[in-house]
Amino acid sequence: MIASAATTAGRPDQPFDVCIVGSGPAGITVARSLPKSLSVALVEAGGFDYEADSQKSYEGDTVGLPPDYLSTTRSRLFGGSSFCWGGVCRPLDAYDMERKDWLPASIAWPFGREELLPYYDRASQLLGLQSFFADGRDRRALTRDGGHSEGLVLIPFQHSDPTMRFGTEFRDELVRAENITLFLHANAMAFDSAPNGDVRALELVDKAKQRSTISARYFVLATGGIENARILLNSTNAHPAGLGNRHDQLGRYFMSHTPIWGAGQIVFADSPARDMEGRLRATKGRICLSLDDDIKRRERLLNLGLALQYGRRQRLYRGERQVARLREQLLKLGIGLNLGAGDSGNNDFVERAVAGFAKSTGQGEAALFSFFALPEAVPDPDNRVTLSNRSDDYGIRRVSVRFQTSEQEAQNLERSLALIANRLGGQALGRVRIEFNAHDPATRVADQHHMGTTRMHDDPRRGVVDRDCIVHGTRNLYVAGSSVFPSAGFVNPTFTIIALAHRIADHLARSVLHQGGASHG
Amino acid sequence: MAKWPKLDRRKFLLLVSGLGVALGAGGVATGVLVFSGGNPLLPGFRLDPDALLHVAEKYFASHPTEKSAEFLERELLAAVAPSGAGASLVDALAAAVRRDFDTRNTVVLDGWILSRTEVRVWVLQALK
Repeated sequence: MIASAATTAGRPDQPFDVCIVGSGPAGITVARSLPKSLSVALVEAGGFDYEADSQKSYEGDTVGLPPDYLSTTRSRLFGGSSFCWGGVCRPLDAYDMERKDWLPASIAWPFGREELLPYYDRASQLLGLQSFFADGRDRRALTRDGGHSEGLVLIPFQHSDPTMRFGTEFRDELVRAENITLFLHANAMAFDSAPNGDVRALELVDKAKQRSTISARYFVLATGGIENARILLNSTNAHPAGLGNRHDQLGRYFMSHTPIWGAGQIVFADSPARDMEGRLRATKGRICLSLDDDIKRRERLLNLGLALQYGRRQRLYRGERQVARLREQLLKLGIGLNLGAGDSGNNDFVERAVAGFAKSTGQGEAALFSFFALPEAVPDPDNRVTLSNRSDDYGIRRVSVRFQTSEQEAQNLERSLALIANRLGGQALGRVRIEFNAHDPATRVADQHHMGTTRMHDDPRRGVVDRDCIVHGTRNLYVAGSSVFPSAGFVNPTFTIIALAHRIADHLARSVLHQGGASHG
Repeated sequence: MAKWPKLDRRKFLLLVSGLGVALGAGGVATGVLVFSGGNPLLPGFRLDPDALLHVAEKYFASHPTEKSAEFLERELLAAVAPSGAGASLVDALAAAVRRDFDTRNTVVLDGWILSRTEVRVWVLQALK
């Protein structure tokens, strides 16, 4: 059922069992996973379609990020940021979830990876993927002719294909669901909480700027890594610094991945190359080369994936042949042009050598792969979401986000790359070419993965939510999404967001049902 | 440890420059070189001749003291010495290359992270 926020908000005397704020992959997954006996309010700030006016509420102030970063890296409509999701799926590694004692702001997840495995499998089922954990699919040592290999692993990713747009996929189901009331154009302003920590209601403002509240027994905040912090920071009626912010943790440790496109090339010896090509075909183009966890622990390295690109090599080869033919034809006409690769005036040795190789040997099996680098996102308390002095059109204070990478990260990245290169060379598996400067801040630009602003830790002095994703100091407010990630590895976060959302739904259902069952619905 | 027999410079150069043939056809083109796919240790000595000159130019620009066939020959003989006299030159160089990576004795050329020994083999050919 679709309802108007201004007219149909749950009354204090008849609260919803659960109010979910945000209808992205996290919010929709929680809503769909809860027992049908529970009444659910699903609150979305946007409509069913993109609306520029609504999206404008995402604008804010930035430091170290492009000015339009906040409004262009997420989607404010039913289905949320699944509309800007690339569909790339991969669980976090065990190493990602460990505390790195040499990294000052690092904390461990409150539970190990095994806790998430059943939820990752549920996420796989939802997205139509194979389990990552059957038949050793999770990772595989890079070997030559099946022999022993030390230190290098291949890490496969899967794609949601076509990429699941949650708003499109589940719109009819959720609108028809008898236990779910969908509020569109309902902008969450703040939570109304009691001094004892109970959240009583969600304050809303609609498109016409009419205010209302939704009462519920439990709340789930699922509005993304930046908005989750924004709404909690704006929730000051009983907690002046914001809800869950007694120890000044809220909004801190904002993380984003900083992929380095066109980072370099790897040439593989024949045997690993054939293996790699088969795997790349099977995974539709995404497989990462990485160091194994033991080496990373020993060397104190951040995680790093080198995403190999199979297609580039093929295109490069065909392009060379075309360029060569064109050049020959032009030369016959007495026309000499710099045609890029292969031309005598071009100093790009890679392109020249590939052209020369192809022509001299007639072989098209040059196992040259380009790669982009995916460094681990790093928690830093100074990278944070705070409230701006400016407000949006609904009177809700905007955010200010600071994000900068460190020299330590650059050095760590260089060491990882050198180790990968040395492992490949030392085992006669291949050679690596690096085509970027890790120390140039312009190389490392934040992407659309917003993580870590309400991170998970059992100690409220070190985190905002506990191991069950309940905000410290509250009893009935959960946070869903990547804002709870204490660390983020190098993999895309959506798959873990969906897994955690299943886990939250299970915990929430137990909580509601153990405390008197459903109130209505 | 057995030492490699004393080779005269001409014989050594012939051996080194003949490695491409010894390693067989097939392989992988990269920025500056063609890696042999036939060699299980991938020392990769078969080069596009133009690219080889570029490698030498770049290497000598950053390592001017090595622009000497005598120096390179001496260093390469030292590099292969641990393999002992019984090993073939190809195997000994391949082992030296592997050792270079294990000990991080590498050179960065045009972005490629390469074994110092393999680079010295190439630039020696260019000097020839």
